[in-house]
Amino acid sequence: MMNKLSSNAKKGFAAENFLFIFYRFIIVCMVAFALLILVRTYIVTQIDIQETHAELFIEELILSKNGVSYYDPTILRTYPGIISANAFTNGETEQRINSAFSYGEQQRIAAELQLMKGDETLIGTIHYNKEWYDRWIVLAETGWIGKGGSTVYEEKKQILLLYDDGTKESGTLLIKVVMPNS
Amino acid sequence: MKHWTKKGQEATNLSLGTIIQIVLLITVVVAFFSYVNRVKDNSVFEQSYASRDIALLLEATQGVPGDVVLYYSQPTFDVGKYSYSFTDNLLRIYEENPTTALYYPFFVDQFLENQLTTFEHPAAFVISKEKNTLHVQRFGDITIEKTNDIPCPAVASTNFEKLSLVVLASEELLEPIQKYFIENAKVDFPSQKKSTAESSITEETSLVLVLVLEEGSTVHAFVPLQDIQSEKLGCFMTNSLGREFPSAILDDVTISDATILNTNVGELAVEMHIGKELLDDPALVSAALQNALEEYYDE
Repeated sequence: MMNKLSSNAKKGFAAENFLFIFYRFIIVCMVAFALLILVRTYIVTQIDIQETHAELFIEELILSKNGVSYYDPTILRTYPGIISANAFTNGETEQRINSAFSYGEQQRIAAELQLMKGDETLIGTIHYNKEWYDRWIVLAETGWIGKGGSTVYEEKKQILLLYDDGTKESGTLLIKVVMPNS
Repeated sequence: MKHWTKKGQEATNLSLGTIIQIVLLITVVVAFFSYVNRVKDNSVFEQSYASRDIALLLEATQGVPGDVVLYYSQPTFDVGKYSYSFTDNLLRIYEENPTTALYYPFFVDQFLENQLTTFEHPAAFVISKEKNTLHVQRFGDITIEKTNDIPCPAVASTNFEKLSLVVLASEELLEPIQKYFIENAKVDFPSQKKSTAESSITEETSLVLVLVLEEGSTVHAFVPLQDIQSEKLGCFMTNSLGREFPSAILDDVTISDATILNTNVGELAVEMHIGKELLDDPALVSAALQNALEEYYDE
């Protein structure tokens, strides 16, 4: 009888220990998980400026002397928001922006610019870094997030179209900037 | 007996278990803190931030329609901790070894002339786009200039009348300087009112300048009692000689009750004691004293 009691007591003790260890394990896992969340939330290891860079590029296209805006060489003045329709369509603007914003051998950014009249009639389309635009836009349209993909940033700007005879008309400039995610 | 042995065994097991738990706990805590410290000391984030910040600034500068000058410094980290390279459309930032640099690309406007180079550990740097040229260059190295100057009274000059001048020289060696002040038209006093005689000193004499020879390379000015304007002029003359002769030993201006200095009360009077070693070229001494005079009158 005494031996039987002793054996039962041993089993009970072991069962209690096992249960205790199981709950301990759960708590340890929760603590580790909490630590992980804290580290991931508060310790910043990446700086993502892709959107900022794209927005800056768009503003530079509009405001820069060598951007899309009309530049008067006689008085050396840029007119931001006024675009010469003729220069846009005859390739002059496209050549100028591709020369001015040169990344050399680094491929960082590409863009498509569509000039439209007030009634959304397309006047012309030009590209900045067309070769890489055609590659990255396909990736961007897949919607894949992550290092291997691309992201497209679109912006519509209200502008004034300047014709050769001096007349002006309101229009729209649609700018699509595409950048790789890596 | 059997009961007590069992209890002892259980107690031993419990103590061992507790010790193992404490050791594990200490290990985890030490590992966690060392990881946090490593993250805190890591400069990769700073370099990454700086590379992006400066690259975007460069692009923005080029996009500005007019001229712009931008002085770059950061309140959150020491700019001089890193070296910067602006070549091949890449901004590289590194601490010591360029091969471990972090980089970010930027565009270069081909219609601008650019002067982009590499510089190491600058105190700050300036990005400028002026007259169709893009510059990025080191700026403002912190240098401490050691000056010998003695402190001068911070008062405005008030004695501007140049009606008469008396210049006295105690030794032959000082006569060229005396002659300079009397004969040189640059010393803007009426020529008929310039004198080398002590008897010419009156209460109305505008400036009394006494030149005394000293040994060595000392420069020491003596001025009348309660005359801050003369003290200022004496101080200017001492400092001017100090700048002309860096090896000169400059003494602070001293108040003197000598009659010769205290006759033209309310006007300027200075007794300059000049070391013999500074008189190899009296023209330099004369020019230095003249400069000090002009500095006083121009204020």
